Amino acid sequence: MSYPTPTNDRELIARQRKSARRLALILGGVALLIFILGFVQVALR
Amino acid sequence: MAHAATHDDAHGHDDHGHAPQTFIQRWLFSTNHKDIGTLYLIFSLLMFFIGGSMAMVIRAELFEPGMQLVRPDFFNEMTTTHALVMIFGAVMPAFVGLANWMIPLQVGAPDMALPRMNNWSFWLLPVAFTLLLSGLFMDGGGPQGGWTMYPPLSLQGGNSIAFMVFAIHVAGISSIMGAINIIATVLNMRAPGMDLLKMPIFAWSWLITAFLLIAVMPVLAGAVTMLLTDKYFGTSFFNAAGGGDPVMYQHIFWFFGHPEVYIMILPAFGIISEIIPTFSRKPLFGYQAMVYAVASIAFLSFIVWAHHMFTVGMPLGGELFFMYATMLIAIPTGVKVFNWVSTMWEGSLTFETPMLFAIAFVILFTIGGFSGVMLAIVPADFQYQDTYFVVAHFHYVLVTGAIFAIMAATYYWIPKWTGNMYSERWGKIHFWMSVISVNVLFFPQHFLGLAGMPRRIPDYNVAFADFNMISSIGGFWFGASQLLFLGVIIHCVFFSKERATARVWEGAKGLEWEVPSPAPHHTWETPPVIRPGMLAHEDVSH
Repeated sequence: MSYPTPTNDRELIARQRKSARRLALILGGVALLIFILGFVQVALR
Repeated sequence: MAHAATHDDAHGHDDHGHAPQTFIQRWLFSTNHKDIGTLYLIFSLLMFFIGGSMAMVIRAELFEPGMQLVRPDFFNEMTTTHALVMIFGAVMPAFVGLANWMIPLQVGAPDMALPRMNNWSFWLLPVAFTLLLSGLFMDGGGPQGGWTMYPPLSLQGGNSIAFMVFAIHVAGISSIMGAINIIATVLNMRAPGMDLLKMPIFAWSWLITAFLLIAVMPVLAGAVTMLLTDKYFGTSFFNAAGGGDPVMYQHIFWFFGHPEVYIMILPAFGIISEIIPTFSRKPLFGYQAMVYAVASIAFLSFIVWAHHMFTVGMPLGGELFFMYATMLIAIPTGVKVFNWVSTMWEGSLTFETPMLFAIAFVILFTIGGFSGVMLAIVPADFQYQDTYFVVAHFHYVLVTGAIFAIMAATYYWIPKWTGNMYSERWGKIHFWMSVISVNVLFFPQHFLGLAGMPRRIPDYNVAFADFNMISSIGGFWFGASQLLFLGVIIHCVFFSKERATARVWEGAKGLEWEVPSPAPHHTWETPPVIRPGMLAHEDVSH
């Protein structure tokens, strides 16, 4: 996916932060998933 | 440089147009990466001294055979809490503090990607350690089962186990949020032109470490939650009488525990890879190889966990697999050691305090690495398991490794943080006192272990008396030397008259040296324009 070139620094930083929030949600979800799956795996063992 | 300085004069300013902040507003509600970094570093120093005091109690009791000063149960509380405080309270927060301070400066970002979460990450830590340390004042005493918390032993104490479990949950959440923030900052907030393979190696090592943290902290959280439900809610995850398996706990714990060791050493590798080129006045030898070596070590750290538990009984194939996989780690680690030495080779070396700590790191961490390879050998490990040889091994890795790197980083970057130079004379005195005493403290423990002295005991056979006395003298000496460290920091922050320049060190390269010292409250609000010669690693294509 390509983005148009940011027109100014503020726009660049705002875009970086938006993308960072999305990544943070994904990573947080992965951490939660590991916790839950670990629990389920041991419980079913 | 001239361009960057002008750039920063225009954009790296202190007031930022805000109303003046009160003390509480600045520190409790801070979203500034530098302030939060400072909070992490102060917290870590406090925990270093609390954990260190516990170590002093341990060494005082072990000064001579027989029971002298403390009850055996209190001794066990000390060994357990010393480890937890040092690992989760001192070493990890120190590295997160360094990451907070330096990564946005190094990659040209105005702050961490998620500043409010950053505030939350820090303020969870005092909560976690209040919970943990409060256990020491409860009926039945603090946790006594060792930092590994193996059941059934760890479940036989009082209710402080519950506090320990919650403390680990809270500290774990803090670590995961910190790691997410670092990944998001490095992957999303880099200035234009700061390609991944131009990035400072400290940022690289932390990026990889942060992935390790996200992968394994939930595993620890799961394991200790199962301990909690086994104790209070009648489950039998690890209770053999109810169909559970206590060895299962050890597998889960060490699936977290071994990557945790690398969580505490990979950022140290990054720091040493920043410092040695600066004081050798040469680019880092084999930059790309260093990055790949860190990634390889991180990968291997997931497939070696059972080397901590060879003696519980496992199939021969398992023992062989974990033995060889463990030995394999020596290869990327060797790449790093040889590259550090090659960076120094024919360099224009000077030996300021950060460089002294970095060189000591390379030598002494390698000793810890060698004893690690010895422990990886299954038949030998059957002899070394649970002896002082293991204690000597991991203290070489963690004290002369992780903690020496944190001290090196403090001396290296404190002029950038405060705008003042520390006292080089007292820094060097601190270094020599520390490096001699730490060897007096830990080297004899190899001999004690080889002679068969078990770990985690308050009393021992008189045959072990001499080396224990030497070790304790080294311990008190090392502990006292750290008061010098505190003194050097306080002097630098409040009393030093010598001002630091922007670049601080003649051979230093990278964006953090392009801003003034002290670094203004807000930096890189306008992304830096990266020009040839600015970065330490620019042309890595050949």
